[in-house]
Amino acid sequence: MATEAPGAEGTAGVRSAPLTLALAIAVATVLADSSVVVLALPDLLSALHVSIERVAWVITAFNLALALAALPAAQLAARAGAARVTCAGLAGFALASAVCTVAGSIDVLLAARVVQAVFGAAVVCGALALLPKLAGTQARGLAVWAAAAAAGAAAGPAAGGALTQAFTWRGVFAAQVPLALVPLALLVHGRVRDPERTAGGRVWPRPWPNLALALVSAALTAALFLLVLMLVRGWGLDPLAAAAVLSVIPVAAIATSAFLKPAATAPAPVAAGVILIAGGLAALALVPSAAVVWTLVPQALIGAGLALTLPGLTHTALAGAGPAAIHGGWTIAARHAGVVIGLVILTPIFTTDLVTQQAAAERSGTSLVLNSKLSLDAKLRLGDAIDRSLHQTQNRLPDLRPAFRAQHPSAADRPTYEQLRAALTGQVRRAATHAFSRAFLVAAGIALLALAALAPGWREAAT
Amino acid sequence: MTALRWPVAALVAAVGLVGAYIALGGRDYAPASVPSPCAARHWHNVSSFGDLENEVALSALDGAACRLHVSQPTLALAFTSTGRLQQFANRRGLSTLEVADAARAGLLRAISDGRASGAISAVEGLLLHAAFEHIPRDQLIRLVRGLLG
Repeated sequence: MATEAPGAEGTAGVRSAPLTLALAIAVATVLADSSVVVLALPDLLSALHVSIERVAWVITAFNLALALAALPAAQLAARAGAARVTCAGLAGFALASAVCTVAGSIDVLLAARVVQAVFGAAVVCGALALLPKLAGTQARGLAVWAAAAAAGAAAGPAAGGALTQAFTWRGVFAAQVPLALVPLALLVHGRVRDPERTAGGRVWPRPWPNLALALVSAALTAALFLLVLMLVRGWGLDPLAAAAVLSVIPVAAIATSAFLKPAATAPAPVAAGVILIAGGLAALALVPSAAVVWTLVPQALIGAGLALTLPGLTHTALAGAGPAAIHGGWTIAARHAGVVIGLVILTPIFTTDLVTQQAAAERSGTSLVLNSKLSLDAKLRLGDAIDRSLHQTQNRLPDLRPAFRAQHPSAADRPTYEQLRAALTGQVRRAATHAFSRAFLVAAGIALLALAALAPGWREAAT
Repeated sequence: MTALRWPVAALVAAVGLVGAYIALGGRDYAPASVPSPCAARHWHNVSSFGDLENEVALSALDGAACRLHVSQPTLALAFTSTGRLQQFANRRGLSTLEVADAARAGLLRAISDGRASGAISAVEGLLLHAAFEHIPRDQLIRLVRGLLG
């Protein structure tokens, strides 16, 4: 039975449905922010001239700050008033997003991302206290918040890819400014009153669902972060095409959610979701060739797994004794700490493997050229041209065509050159794909660890 | 029992997909491994001086790479410049003399590959062998680099 939200007197000057929708979009925007820039990373790499490890901090810094700020923000919302904290959060988030848009260096961008995350924490935790009041019942409010959180996580990369393609990486941040300002205007105009303030006192999180959330979030981030880098840097897709490919995850998540009404909270479907995520990640580690088609089914599994796990685990984590908003703080902290842990574990693995595979591709490519049917002179000229084009390529998939065109082969030699170019390109694509294998497998392992965290919940349900 | 339906169905889907990808060659989709430089190289179609030069260079690279326990392409890449050769030697803790000895082993290996393929006669082989044995060590690296253009 639905419980009426405390202090649910409605709003003074605005209907609650548009405000509920605007707040849900703001929550989705903040939580999408942990992954929305993933497709903009290649653009950022080139625009700001930084290394992969450094640019990964655009995601890591945001998630770390959000994880650390979530609980204090939830406590502040409970004591100082959720409406006030949400308004301050939306204003600060909009301002920080504007600074991100115009950032001229990686340091400014990272600082603005941290500020964005701190105010973002105020938005999601304040909204968690406000939504039950706006939606009418506690259950409906929490369901809206959990759905917005899952939608943000799933749709973030695809939306970011489309915006990057249309307006460069700056467009990703510019688009967030109105998404924060609209709910702010509605909140101020509606003079929304705060729900009952709760007295202090320590509220402990529910450990197992939060731990499972952290592990699943770590694995999901890997799916998005690694897949994007593989598609854009490894396979040479442009951000829009990569966004279209990545849309399989939210589509599968929406389809599974529609099939599963109401959201599954029992341990069995949640465990099934974890297995699907792990299976999808393991399959991405083992794609039979560098073709987009091989990523579709694994992504569908990951999307279905996301719909089965995230809302269910979030509901369970929020159901502890004490105000839901404080549990929401813990939940956000767990999710984003998981994202940070995932990035910290996986980034060095794939950057190391990238270097190893680059060397492996160089060796196999050199072997192909040396042992080809070309004359020694022709091999040396070609090797020199390829070497030059590799050095001109910065963090991008090398384009070997100019090196081959510069050889001006005779008609008789042309098929040999063409075969050699195809073979070399094949080796490069193999290396660019294999560089991600170990990281995807580790991510699958992290997802499977969440099964262990689900066991206590399973025992509880059985008794 | 009904509760187990969910995880079992998920497990079937996950294992099925991973199994299918392995069966389709997903585990081997990586850069091709390079052949061992220690295996004998058969010379093909040595009909001109250019062909001979090509085969000698490749066999010499194989022989030197085999002596240094590295792959043929790794050594070929090292020989592309003095800087890269120095870097290669430093990384593996090799002295210039050891690299020169490997270069000599490579040239001798080229003679044996050439003889086995019938491109070099016994007399030519003996003469070349004597010549390569007596080339001063400081000239050997220059000779192999010269062969590689």
